[in-house]
Amino acid sequence: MTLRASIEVKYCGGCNPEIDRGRLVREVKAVIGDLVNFDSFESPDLLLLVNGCAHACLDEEVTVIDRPETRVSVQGTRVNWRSIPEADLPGAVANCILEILNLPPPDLAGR
Amino acid sequence: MMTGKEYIESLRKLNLEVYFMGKKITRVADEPMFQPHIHTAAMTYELAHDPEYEAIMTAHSHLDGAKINRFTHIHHSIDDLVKKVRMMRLLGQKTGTCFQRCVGLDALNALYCTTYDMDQKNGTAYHQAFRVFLAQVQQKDLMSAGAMTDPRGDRSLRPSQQKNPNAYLHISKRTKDGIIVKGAKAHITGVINSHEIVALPTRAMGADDADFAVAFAVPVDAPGIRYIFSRQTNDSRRLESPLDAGNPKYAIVGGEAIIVFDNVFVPWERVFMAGEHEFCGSLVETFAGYHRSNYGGCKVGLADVVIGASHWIADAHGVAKASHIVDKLTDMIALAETCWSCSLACSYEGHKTPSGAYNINPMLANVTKLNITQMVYEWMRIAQDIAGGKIITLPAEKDLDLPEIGEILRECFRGKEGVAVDDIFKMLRLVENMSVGAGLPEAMHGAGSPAAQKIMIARRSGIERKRQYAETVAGILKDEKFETIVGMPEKEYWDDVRAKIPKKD
Repeated sequence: MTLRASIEVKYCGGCNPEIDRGRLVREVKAVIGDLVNFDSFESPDLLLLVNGCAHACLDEEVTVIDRPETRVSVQGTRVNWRSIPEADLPGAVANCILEILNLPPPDLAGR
Repeated sequence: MMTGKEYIESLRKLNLEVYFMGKKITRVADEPMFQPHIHTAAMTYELAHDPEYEAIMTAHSHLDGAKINRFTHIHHSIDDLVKKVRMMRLLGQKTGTCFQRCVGLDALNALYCTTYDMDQKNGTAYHQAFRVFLAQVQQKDLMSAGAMTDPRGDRSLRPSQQKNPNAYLHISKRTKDGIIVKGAKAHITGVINSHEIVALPTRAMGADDADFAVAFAVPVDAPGIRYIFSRQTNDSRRLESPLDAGNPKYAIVGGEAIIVFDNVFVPWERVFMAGEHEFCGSLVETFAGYHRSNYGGCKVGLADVVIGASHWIADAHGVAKASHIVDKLTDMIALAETCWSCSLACSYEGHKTPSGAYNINPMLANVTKLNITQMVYEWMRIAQDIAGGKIITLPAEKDLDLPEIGEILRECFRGKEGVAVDDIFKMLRLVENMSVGAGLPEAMHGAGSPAAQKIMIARRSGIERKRQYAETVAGILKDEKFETIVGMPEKEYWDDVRAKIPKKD
């Protein structure tokens, strides 16, 4: 059995989100769920911070000092401060994760 | 950092061509009509040297770590955004008018963000050029006049469709050394007593408008630039009588001018956009957001002054404790603090941009400014109400000086025992100055008219999400949390509830 890279997903409080955070994560899982494990919470290889808006409360709360893992931050309709059309967010987040984890895109991974 | 005096002295080294009231003025720093505006801008320099205010008025440059005036700073944290609006309120309290320097600050921050984005997409080198310019502004503590609004001619036509191309500032020629620009900018606050013009496009543009998509910095006395200073309500009173002027030290509002660019040369190292029309919209939006966020700071500082003046006048006439006065003052305070809350909120809800600079929350910034377009009028209306009819019937200072009627007039306007009648005149004139004159339409149109704010608010309304919230609560969309709480599908739950409702015989 191949060991898959693991991702911990953290959500902001969701007070006034610009995006449907839960749906976004479900759609990201649908794209790359075979390549990475979203259910492991001990020593993950990557943190996925899902902020509902650009203010990105999670980015302040989850400090790099306390949690030095590699991370991808969704900030409303931005991924790591880059504006992305809402419809393209799942693909952009998935690509960002794969790039950081040095994994091939899904269509090249024999899916 | 310059002191207030050093700033005024620095203006004497500039060689501007300014027109006002039919005459040409070359020594701006010594022109009596301009003195109050210059004093107000000087306050932005002076307070930075006071230990009591330096925590707000100064920052540390992200370029070299040096201590700088916050009016030259690029915001690099939420704390920076909050301190910026605190600085606005402080200066409003100290001057009771527009202190002019925020437009340049917002232009610097907007260009910092947008030049970075442009370079990332196009591989241009505008951002580095801008950083070099910014370093000069910070090191020399220069006052920059943000120059955005073009005359615009026929508003239904795009810049490239205008019969007169000078309706929009544009590139008339490109050379290996730089660009030559022609056209005008209108309503430019504080420009005649600034050191630099930072010009930005005024609207989103298309490919045909590429020559109008231009941003740059030039010294205010660059060859080919002329200024026509605008008239303001009761402005000539300051030349006739300090008392009649109302706020003779700091004036009525910022001091605006039309800038005419007649084939002005701008070297490439000072050009920050030259044809990248696709970035005009984001540059304008970023600038407008920063600028609109300020208004719940500066105008609330002015409100603090006019609320204090209103209470003083009521007290001087023995009615400070009357229930209707307390009620009106409380309304003024609540209105002002509502706007202050908006400015704080759009700062605290700000975010980091790809450039590393921080931007405000644009929805809340537009709400801030939209409230200002209404609430300033309301608290100034109440100030007029409390002040009474005297603010429109006061005699001239020269009549007070006439020996045969001066004392009679003073008796007519006297208040309660122990209050100097000349102080009553000063305070009434201050309220007249602040509540009757050009400050009101400035609150309406500065940083964009209400329609512009409503466009931005509507664009960012998230109305589809609000519909989903409503559909979920109403039971049209599946409510997963509700079904978890009741332990069954929603339809099943309501069928059960309906079954338990007693049937009528």
